[in-house]
Amino acid sequence: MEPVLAVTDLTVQYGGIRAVDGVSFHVAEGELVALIGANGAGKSSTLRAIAGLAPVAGGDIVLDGVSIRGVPTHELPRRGLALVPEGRRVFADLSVLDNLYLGAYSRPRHEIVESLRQVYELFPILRERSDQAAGTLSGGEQQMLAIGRALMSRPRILLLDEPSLGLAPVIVRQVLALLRQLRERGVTILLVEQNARLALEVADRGYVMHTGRIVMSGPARELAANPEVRERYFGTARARSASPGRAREPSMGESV
Amino acid sequence: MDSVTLPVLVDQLVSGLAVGGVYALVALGFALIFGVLRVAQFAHGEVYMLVAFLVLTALPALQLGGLGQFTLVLVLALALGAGLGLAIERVVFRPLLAAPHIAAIISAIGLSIALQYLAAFVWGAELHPFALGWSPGNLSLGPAVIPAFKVIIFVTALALLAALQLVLRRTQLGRAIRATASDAETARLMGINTTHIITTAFAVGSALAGAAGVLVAALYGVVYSSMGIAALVKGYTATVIGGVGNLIGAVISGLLLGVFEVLLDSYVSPKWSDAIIFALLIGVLVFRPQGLLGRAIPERL
Repeated sequence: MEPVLAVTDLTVQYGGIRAVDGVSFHVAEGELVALIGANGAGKSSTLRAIAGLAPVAGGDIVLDGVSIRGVPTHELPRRGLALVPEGRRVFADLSVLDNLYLGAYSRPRHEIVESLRQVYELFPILRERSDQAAGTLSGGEQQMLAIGRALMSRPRILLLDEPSLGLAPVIVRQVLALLRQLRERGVTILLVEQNARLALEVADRGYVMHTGRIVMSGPARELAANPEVRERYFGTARARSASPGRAREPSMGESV
Repeated sequence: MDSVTLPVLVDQLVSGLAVGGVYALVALGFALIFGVLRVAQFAHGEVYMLVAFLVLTALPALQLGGLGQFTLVLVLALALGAGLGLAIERVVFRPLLAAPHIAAIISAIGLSIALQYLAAFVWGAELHPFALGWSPGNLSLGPAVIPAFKVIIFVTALALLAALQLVLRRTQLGRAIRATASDAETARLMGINTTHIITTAFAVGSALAGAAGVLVAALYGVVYSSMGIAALVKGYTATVIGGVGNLIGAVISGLLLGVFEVLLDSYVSPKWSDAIIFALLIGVLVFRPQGLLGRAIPERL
């Protein structure tokens, strides 16, 4: 079966710095695929390139059999791609409901009521807070809103950039349980996470990135059992995701 | 002061609200464009001035009289303002979208000066009388008798502001404008073409400036080529006092500024009122940059 998303030989270059160097992977329908690796490995750059937010220097990105390389970011929701950005990026001074309406910006009006009902069913807290400014929500609630907002576009594939970042461990657990729930409902998901242990817990398959390349891939269970993965990415993942104010990609040259 | 009687005070308050409504229109248009563009449109006042001149030129052909005359002039001003805004966006700002902000700011200042001289060249630098061709008479408000026209200007300004609020709050287009102002990259992720939103904000914001231009021309009965700069500074002051990015704040402070100015004109001196208002602007910028009415805006770049 044709994958929902297929990335081949993707290269992302910022000036002279090659943040992503010939990366290939795919996500099949209904799969939850995790892209893991240390800070600066090129995970976020990969995701941003798929969403048209980072410059693609080479390779191709194919969504449902059609290349989306060079397609402007604002066209992508119409084609079925939704990205939950790093740091959640809710529209802080807009209400929760307005944020959700904006998630459905690419959709016909008559669908919105039903989409809203489904998102509220998934996140009852958002219904309670619908008139509140999004900036007044807690970090975990903002993450729910960012995901709910993305789901309002009824995406073919949902991309999540570091959803655990800056959240308390108990909230991170909730977010992951939610991803599992979405997967069971048939939502196709590409998850970028530094917290490799948790990502591999919920994912079907995983890819490990290191300095802009994919160095390992396989079923999530196998990766989670791999001693090298455990040593490199499990020990520090928890400490890293808890440390605030880390540098944004691309910050290359970090040795692992 | 024994000359201050209640009827005089009521008249002054109504004048202040009419002028303040005009400032609020200028302020809101300016804030709307600044919100999505992140660059001050310093030629915003020249849209206001040019529309007043264009309507003045067209006036001999518009002789409906009565409320129809007023409506026609207002609609014409809105349309001319929108058209000018679209042209300015296309010619001056869009080519500089990717350039550093300072390039667009300098271009806007240059455009402001160029348009002032253009107007002076075409129409002359002197004051031009502006007669709308409709005077709705006087209105009794308690003990005071005030020109009904002042009330109509205030009500018109409020109606335009309310219509804009309705669009911003209740429509997907309005949400898209607010989202673009809040975080343009994330707005694009929602499927919003932010370049179109900037164009739309120019059209709507400049239409409000055009309406403000004819309202003030009709109120004072005069137009002149440097009238835009004074209006922009007042509108800018209202925006700053209200808190940049706080549209309701800009409206309230625009109205208060108008009343304050009329009272200063009457009870201090017209010579001092601008100086006092600009001192207030500087004071706010220095001591409370988030505005008197605004809260600190979470800045996200």
